[in-house]
Amino acid sequence: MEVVQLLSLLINCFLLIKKNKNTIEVKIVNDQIILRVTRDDMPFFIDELTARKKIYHAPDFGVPLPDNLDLDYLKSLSTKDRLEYLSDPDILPQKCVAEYMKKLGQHLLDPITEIKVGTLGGNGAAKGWDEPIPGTHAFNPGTGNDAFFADNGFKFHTGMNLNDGQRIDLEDNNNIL
Amino acid sequence: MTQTFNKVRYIELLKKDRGLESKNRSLYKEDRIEYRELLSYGVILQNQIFYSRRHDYISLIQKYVTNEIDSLLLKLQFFQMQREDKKIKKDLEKNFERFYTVLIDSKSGEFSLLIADIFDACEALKSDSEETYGITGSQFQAFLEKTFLQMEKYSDE
Repeated sequence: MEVVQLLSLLINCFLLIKKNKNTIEVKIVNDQIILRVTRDDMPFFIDELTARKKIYHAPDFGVPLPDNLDLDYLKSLSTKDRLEYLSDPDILPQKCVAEYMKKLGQHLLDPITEIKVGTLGGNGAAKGWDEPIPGTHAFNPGTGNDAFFADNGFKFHTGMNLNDGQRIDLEDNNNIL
Repeated sequence: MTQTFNKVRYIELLKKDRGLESKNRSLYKEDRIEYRELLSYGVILQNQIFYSRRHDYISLIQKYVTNEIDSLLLKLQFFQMQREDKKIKKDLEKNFERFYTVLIDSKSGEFSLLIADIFDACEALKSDSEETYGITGSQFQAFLEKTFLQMEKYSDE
């Protein structure tokens, strides 16, 4: 076997092993789902509580908001009641949040998704808001979806579809928002 | 007043990107300069779509500043509108005949900066005090009130 072919075979084996290392594990802690996604030996954590808070971005990942999430009814509630309404598993079922989490996990494991160190909130800082937070972007140039992980770059913070302006910010400054 | 942008070049880049996509390749991977150029044209089109819908955006923010809706409902509706606008853009990018008829208003860029500010504020709004990053409810309200005053000047255009 020629050296080039042998090298190619070795590289493919290595990539296969590396690919197999990419996994999604599910844990239930205090009735809350936690996903541990391992991508290229890096562990990323997606927790149900944070995913629930960001559920309005779920349609960006192809997860529709439930039909019984009645926007007209929502309008009639006070802010406090509305928050309770959204945290009610009968209204926003755990299944729906779990689907969003699953899609985020799949997004992370998609080979097209690029992992890059960056920040969130650089533009907010310019408006006098909090300083930007450092973390990790998982950006898929095919879908335009980005997930941002804070707290040393491994804890889910938000996940959404970027518009072209946000893509430019990510491209030029490794930052969104 | 309208602003010109190079639609011919935009379409050329869109076609190139699609051609690469059909071969499982992408402009993003193959030519970052052209990818960046394509995005910059996309921003101009997107800004015009926001501007064409400015009355809807202004009306939504007005409902929030007059306490007709709260921040949660604002976020749900705002992000829904953003998704709808992205779909309009995608459809236009597929239909070159319609795309050629789009005129870019010179005010669309500055109006869209306000839309971007609202997007950032909605995303930064803390839902509880334990969150480390973001803005408080009162900061959010003050910011939206200020932004609404700036948006209002586009309502009669």
